[in-house]
Amino acid sequence: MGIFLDYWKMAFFNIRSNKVRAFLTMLGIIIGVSSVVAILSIGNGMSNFISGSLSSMAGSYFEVYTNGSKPITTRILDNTVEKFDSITGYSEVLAFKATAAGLKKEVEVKVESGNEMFKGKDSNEIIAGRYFDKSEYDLAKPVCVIDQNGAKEIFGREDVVGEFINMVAYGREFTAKVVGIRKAGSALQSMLFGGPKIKVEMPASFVNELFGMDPDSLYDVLLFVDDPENAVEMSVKAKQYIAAALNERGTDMVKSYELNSGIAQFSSILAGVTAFVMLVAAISLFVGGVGVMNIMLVSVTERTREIGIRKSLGAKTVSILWQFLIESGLISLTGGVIGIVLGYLFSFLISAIIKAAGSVTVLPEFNIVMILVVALFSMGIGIFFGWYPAKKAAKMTPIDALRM
Amino acid sequence: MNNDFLEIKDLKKSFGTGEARQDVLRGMNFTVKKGEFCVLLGPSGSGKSTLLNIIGGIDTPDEGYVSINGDKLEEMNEKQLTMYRRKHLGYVFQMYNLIPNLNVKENIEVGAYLSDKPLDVEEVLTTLGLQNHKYKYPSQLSGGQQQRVSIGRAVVKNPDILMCDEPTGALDYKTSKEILALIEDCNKKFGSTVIMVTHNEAIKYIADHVIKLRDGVVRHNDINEKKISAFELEWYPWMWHSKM
Ligand SMILES: Nc1ncnc2c1ncn2[C@@H]1O[C@H](COP(=O)(O)OP(=O)(O)O)[C@@H](O)[C@H]1O
Ligand SMILES: [Mg+2]
Repeated sequence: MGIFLDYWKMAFFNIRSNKVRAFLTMLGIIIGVSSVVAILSIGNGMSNFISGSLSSMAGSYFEVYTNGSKPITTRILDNTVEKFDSITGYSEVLAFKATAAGLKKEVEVKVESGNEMFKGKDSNEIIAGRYFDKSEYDLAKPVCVIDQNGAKEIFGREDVVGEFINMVAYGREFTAKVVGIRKAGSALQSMLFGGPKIKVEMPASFVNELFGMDPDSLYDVLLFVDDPENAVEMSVKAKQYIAAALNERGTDMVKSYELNSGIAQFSSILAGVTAFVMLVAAISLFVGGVGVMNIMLVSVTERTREIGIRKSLGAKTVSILWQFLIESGLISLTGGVIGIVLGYLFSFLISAIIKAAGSVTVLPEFNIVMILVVALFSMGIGIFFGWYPAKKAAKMTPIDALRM
Repeated sequence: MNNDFLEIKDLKKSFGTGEARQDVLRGMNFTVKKGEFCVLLGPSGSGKSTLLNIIGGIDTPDEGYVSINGDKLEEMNEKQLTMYRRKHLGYVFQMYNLIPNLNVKENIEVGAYLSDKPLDVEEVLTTLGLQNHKYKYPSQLSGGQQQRVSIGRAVVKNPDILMCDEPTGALDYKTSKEILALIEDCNKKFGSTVIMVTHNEAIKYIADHVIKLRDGVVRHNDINEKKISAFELEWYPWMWHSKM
């Protein structure tokens, strides 16, 4: 075992005496490992972000909509709520773009309307005032809840409860009183759901009156469930039930959408992208490994005489093998450790860039298991690519090695 | 069994084939006793290094054999040969052959690690007068100092046989005498059998046993009854090349 320690010492001596070369050899490994680490930790951060920020919105409801050829009546929806215990209620969805008169200029907003249950569609909390209530809905009051960003854009400040917003949509002018402020959603949310960034929520009854629409003919509804676990199952069952009630069983007139499956899809796209970038990083790691092999071959050639001396003094073939393997393993392990540190720092840089670009906080995540795996993996690369040169060195006969 | 430790029997070795064929050893015979200080004398190109390589188990003869304590080297496999070198041999090369990226102490440790009965490295450093240089690298040392390190690396193994290939070949008169005195010391102190190759005939006076080689065979095989110590030794440049 003392001998074994000695190999480490030898490997260390040799790296020490060829610092620049050893560093250049490590460079390939450092670049490869740091990109793998950065990608992994950002990828982890992303999926944490998705499961955290997005999933909080998901699960409490699902959406059922028709292609517009037949409306869903409130009677069908009442029956649906009646039939399925897990479904607690529903709200119509009417959404359209409108132009609001801002302090300095006109601002494009997205009006989303429903009944008082609509509050639960968005996981961002009400930070000032309140949500419009059932009586305001029943009386079709011109009230609204606006998000933080919208308040700032339209009024230049956030404490706008009690103020009025003048809007125009499809040639109709209307005014709504602000009763509550909702916390701004993340950029990713507006990216996923599209449309203008500012969201104005209003009672759908008011919107129906405004445009003279039949309040009993719904084309898009949210159905709320008691437990997120039931969302997926209920979305399927309710869709079938409603389709049957409309005599459209088996056609695709009625559709349902459940956010969790959307998130799953998004996550799998993200996983695919991560895997692809990982592959590219892995290739650079491979190239780094070839670099290690190259340098080790040079090292073997350079140290032929040393090998001859050692062997003529009685060093075993396996000792020479170990000496070179440990050296290449140590070089790539060191490169790997440096790469892990750099990669982790790098992932914070990426996180900062993402935050600056999209005001999304993606916290890089990298745990001890991953550190160990990556460190062992990079050492493995050194040993794998060091094997051939080491074997070549070990096989040399002392007389040949000495003669060179 | 007699007390012959090392036996060289009908050793033949040639290099090249056809026109270029050169018979370097043409049937060499001699024995060395345990603890003997043996000097192999012969002009340049007479096959001294070749012989030493064969005794050291790093080259093989075409015919004949080398046996140590009755074990024939030619009957040993790769592993046994390695163990033989490890256990029995200390090798001092003519060109020092130090490992350039290890310092003095580390170079000597290379030898120590290969032995299962090594001497104390610090003690060897002291004996060789290298204490003040132990953290220097070979390139920072004079020829004599490098040869000391080379001897240290061989001696620290506490070998049964210390083989020296022209250890003073590249050194000046004074340094040569010091190096010879060190080798003599190892022979006396640790009882190592010494086989020293040289082309300097003057050196034969410090040996117990003088073997002169010429044309691939042993010409003279003498026991020196009146050996002197290395410090009493004197020679002049014109004496360096043997007139044999
Ligand atoms: N590997 C080899 N291939 C061919 N010729 C060799 C080889 N090794 C030694 N010789 C030849 O053998 C002869 C003896 O060499 P060597 O043993 O080194 O002599 P010495 O050490 O006595 O000066 C020389 O003529 C040398 O050229
Ligand atoms: Mg020679």
